Amino acid sequence: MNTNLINFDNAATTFPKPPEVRNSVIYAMNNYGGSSGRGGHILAARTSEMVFRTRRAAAEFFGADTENVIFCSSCTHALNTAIKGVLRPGDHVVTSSLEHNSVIRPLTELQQRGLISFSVAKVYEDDEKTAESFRNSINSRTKAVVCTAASNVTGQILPLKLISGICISKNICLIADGAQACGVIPLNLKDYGINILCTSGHKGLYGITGTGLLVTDGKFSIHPLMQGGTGSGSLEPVQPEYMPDSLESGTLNTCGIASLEAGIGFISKMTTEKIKQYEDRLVDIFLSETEKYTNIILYRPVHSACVPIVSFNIADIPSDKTAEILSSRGFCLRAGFHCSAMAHRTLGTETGTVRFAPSVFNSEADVKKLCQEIKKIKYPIEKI
Amino acid sequence: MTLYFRSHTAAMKASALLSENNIPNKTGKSTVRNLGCVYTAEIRNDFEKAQTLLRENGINYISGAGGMRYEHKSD
Repeated sequence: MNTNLINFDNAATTFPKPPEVRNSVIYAMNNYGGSSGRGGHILAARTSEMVFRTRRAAAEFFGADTENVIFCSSCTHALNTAIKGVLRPGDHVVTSSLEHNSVIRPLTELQQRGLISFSVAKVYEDDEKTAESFRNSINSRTKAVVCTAASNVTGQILPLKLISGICISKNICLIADGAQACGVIPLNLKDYGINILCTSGHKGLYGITGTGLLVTDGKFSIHPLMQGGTGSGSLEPVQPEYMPDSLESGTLNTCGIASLEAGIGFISKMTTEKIKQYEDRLVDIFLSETEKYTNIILYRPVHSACVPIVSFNIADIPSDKTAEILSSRGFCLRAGFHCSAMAHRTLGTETGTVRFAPSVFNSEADVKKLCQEIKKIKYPIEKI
Repeated sequence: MTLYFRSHTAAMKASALLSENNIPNKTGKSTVRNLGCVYTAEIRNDFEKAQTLLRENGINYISGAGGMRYEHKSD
């Protein structure tokens, strides 16, 4: 491992991982060699027990029933399962102006096939205004609201509780994208009125890549995205209807699930509140340092609550150039559009932005070093 | 005595519940004619108490799996 690198691209994937997560993967490689739910022998049973423990831990963490936790390969997989599983021909959907392509692309694909229609509710810094924007976008055919809990570009936290209030009153399914919020906001189905929560496992939950979760309250039925082996109901040619088997075809990602158990354990021990508090402190240092630089442009809502993410540019230097300079100096930050073209269109950032996204493994000194390097970047652009 | 479940998760959930209520059990998997693969929780005693616990906690189990019936209880 290159210990000279400082990672501030934790909104894409947290790195490094907690020691217990790394150890859990090694342990899984050595001990969980069976296929969960596929046999009665010791290896399969041992693996199945670990998968169940993780499912139960995730259920407790997000306030759901154990069988309503579905292991996915990513948040994108979970969102596709939710969106394509809940919607039926003729349905209408409301989404926000800050969505990731993992929401916009499935919706656009369904729309282009003539199956659904969707409207985009504008997000404002004023939560009441945002909720009103969602309310005004709903029509009599609206089946679902698909909405991020926090923007992966600006960090803005959306007023999910206000939005869920509207959804509940109109019997609309609220599908939340928790990719940037889970692990820093105590998202819970019951408290937030979310029907289906989708999240990645490799970001704020500190699991490894190739993991994701769909957690549902079971109120809206989800037609499976795939059909196949589940280890159960083997004589039936049709997919089981019961959860989680209905939505989990194919052998599960054992090492990934073991990493999630450790990751959720890590967060639960530390608490999301303390994690956010710590990362907010790092963001405050970043903002207070960089705000002194006349050539920096910060894209961060002033009047809204945010997760620890800050987008910025230096004068009119293309974001990829800034990130390239910082990378050459040992700092990993993601530039470009962050798979969220709509959010960038809303911001008017034609060449994208550079994104600062700390984790609990960054120190205050790391942030100060980064700020010093940002300060050194001169305009017109230096040769690299 | 064996309790049968359609899904692995239901069997594990039942197993945890039984253990919490001091009913020792062992989970497994078996094959039942006309039904295929099922998941099991084997218990030595307290069969009635176990079934009551499952029903009260909304955990679905299969009755008569050792025979040929597929009767889904407690829905």
